[in-house]
Amino acid sequence: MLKWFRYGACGLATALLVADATGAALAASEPKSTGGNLVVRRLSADQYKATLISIFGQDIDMGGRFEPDQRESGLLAVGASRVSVTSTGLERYEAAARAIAAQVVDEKHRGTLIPCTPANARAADDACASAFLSNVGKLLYRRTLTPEELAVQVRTAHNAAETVKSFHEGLAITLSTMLTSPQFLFYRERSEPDPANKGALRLTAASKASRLSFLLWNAGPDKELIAAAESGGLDTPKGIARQVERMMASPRFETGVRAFFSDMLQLDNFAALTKDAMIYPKFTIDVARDAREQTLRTAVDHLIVRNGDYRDLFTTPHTFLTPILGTVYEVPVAPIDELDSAAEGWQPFSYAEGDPRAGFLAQASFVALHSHPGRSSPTLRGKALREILFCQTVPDPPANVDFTLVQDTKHATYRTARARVEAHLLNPMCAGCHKLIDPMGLGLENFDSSGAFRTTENGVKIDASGEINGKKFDGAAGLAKAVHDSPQTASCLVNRVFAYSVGRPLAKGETEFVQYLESGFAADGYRLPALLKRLATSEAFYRVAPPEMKKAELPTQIASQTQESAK
Amino acid sequence: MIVRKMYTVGALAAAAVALQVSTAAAETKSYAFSLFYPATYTQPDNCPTGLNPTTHEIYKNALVTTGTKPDEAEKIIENYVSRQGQGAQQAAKPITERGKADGKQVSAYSNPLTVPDPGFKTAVGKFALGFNLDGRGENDAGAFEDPRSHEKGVDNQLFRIYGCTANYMATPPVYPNYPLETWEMVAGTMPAWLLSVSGEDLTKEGSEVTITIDRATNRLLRDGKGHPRSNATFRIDSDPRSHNVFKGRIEKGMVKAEVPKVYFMGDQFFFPDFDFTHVKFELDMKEEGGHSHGMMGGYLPWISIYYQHGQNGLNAETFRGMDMVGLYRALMRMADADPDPSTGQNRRISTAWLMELVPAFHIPAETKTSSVP
Repeated sequence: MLKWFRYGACGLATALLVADATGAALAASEPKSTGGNLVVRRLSADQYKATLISIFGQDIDMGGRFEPDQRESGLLAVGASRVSVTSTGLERYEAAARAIAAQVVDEKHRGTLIPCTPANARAADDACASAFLSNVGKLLYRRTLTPEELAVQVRTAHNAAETVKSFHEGLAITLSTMLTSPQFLFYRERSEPDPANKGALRLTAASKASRLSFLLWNAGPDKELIAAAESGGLDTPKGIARQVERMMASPRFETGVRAFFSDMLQLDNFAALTKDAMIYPKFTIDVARDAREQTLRTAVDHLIVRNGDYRDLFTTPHTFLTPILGTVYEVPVAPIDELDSAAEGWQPFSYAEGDPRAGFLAQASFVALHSHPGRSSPTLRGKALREILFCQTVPDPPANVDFTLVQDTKHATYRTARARVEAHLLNPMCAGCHKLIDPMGLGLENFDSSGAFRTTENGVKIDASGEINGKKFDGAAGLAKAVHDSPQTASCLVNRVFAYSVGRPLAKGETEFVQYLESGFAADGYRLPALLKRLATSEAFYRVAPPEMKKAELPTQIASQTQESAK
Repeated sequence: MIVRKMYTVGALAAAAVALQVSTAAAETKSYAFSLFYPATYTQPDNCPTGLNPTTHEIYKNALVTTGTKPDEAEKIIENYVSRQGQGAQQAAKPITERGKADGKQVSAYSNPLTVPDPGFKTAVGKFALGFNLDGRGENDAGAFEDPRSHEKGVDNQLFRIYGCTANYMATPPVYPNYPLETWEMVAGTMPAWLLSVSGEDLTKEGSEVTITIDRATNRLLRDGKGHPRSNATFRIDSDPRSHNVFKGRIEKGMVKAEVPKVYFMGDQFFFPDFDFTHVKFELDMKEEGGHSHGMMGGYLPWISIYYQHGQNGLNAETFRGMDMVGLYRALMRMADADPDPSTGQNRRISTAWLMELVPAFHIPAETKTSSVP
């Protein structure tokens, strides 16, 4: 984990102060928002794990894969409110729950994770079970269990313990049922009348706590946040601000920022990324793993530790590398000191001024992720630039397109990707979209499909010039500057942050508020912490659309069914 | 090969500066050894009396010549090959302890002179890769001619020794089986060997260059095809014993050098150390298949060569088909340099080793890993 407080505490504090100062001016002008629909979101695998790590610690093995996530409107966080659990998925959750519960109560962990010792380890102990289940249940269900709920759980533990003649095994059975409960696996938002705005709705305090926690930490609320929610601490702007300050000062904030960028940049696609080993033998599974981590470390370092301008991510020479990534980028990275067991091999690295390999877009997480297994792709890269960084939608190609030419990397006439896509553009059916995306992607042609820098392709010097929104640029550095300078870059980020935070696309009545966030983002120097703070402390963040809208726009039948079943 | 630039990599920045100051060169190309093996150049007429026997014949001959009846020898061999692990070691005792000293059976591998000479077959012929090490050139009767440079008087007695043993027989670009197999086993576990060439202009004919050979403290990394990964970073071992610096020159596009001595430590299970004298060196910096190719010739202590095989003689005989006693006696007989003042026995043998190199970064030993916790 990065020590973001190492030299970033001052920077972050300054940023928050700036946000306070400018925010105070802007807060008065926060536009009214209608709010959006309530959603029911399934925990992502990362949220599931992060929540359980926060409760039981890093020592518990969380197991393998869960139900696959689904990306909607560019985000898994939005897709999470459109999915349910299949029977196969439920089996996986159940297997994971049993394994986790068994570890929690085993002899190695019970001393630290269970707050009491049963009077008789071979029999039920309701008092001890209650102490454990009330504590853990609160963190799993993100609220204090009702007396009835707790009584049911304690009774379950009692019966199980009597049956299997083991207090701890009985407790594990109960815990595993809680871990597969919809109350844990889904977080359902609820609304209540807003006393300060007659006729308007806002999230309940418990829902506020969850929305905040999943935004800033990518995990469920901790005890303090739940306590604040249950004591009215989240009913006032001041109370919310206090919690937001606390949460952003926590090292767990880094986890939240990593989760957002992993989602926005679609880094989950690394799980399915393959390269042709005969063409790119250096692109191994270690490289893929480290490339993903490189980008997340760079983002956290730049945005949190250095409190940098978001747009500078595209031009920053600073990043982090491992020795094996160094072999792909062809730069020196000191080998891991084998005597230093704490060393993971990650080292800060800065490219020299003018080096075309600097910046976010030149990282393998972009150029390799948006390439084909055996060749680069100006089209995939251009499409990713438009969709991921500019929040635009590029239609899929027609089903009957002939890709033979662009796939022929050894074509005698069209020896570079530029030549091949230009020839492809002669097909008028393709030209419409390609004219929008290829000129951007061509700026990254100095990077092959593995992320390695190159100056020639098939012996021909690569022309990496391009065009973005009518402005011409040259090479990756030119593209990076163009992306940096484009107003769409910051605007897209704000829109993504908002959709990510509420788990749904922007509602019509929230447009003005998001524009306000965009203005604030610019006023704050495009600082992500300031943006998150402005969002998390806004009134609009907790506003809920009136019932008519909710009824009209209920996302899916699944969500309503889940809501019903959760009751 | 990318042009090396200055990077600011935390501690690496200082390291890079240190490197630049130490070489004071306009250009440096740095490499890691991706393969190092004795040069062979097998031709059809190398072994007019045939090849050295295979493993089964080696054992049978060894047992029979030390007094075992042929049918009993067959049983011993069968018993050995049908077992594994400790059982096999035990069953092989009559083979390994076929030497006799002071009336007792002793290890033939530790005491090769206690066993009769089995008559190791060695290669003859016109061609061998290597260099004219002793300067006698065409006047060196029986010396080889290098098939590539056509240099006459090439001294490579080690090729004579290996030349009629199947596991060593190959002609470039084919690799000899056993050296390749051994390298593949040790390259991932032993510290890498490093080489650099620096000079004002590495392309200018006749220009002077500085060559370094070092051992690293870290190992080669592999790529997805199992080949050594290029552009990895290696920390130079601060042990001065493996540090070599010598001058060379660009000749006909190649780096060429002559130097009295090159020494670098190796691997316990591969080659304990390389102690070349009267060294001749050449390197073609052009990359072919991701590698640059070179050759280093010189005289090595033959006892080190024997030790490489004899330290695990049973395996060497079983898997390499090389009679250890025969090898020892052949090395003794064919050693051609550095006579012992008291016995006259030559202690060194002429040899040439081929090297393949991948581009690499070198950093000084003191460069610390500035890992981010």
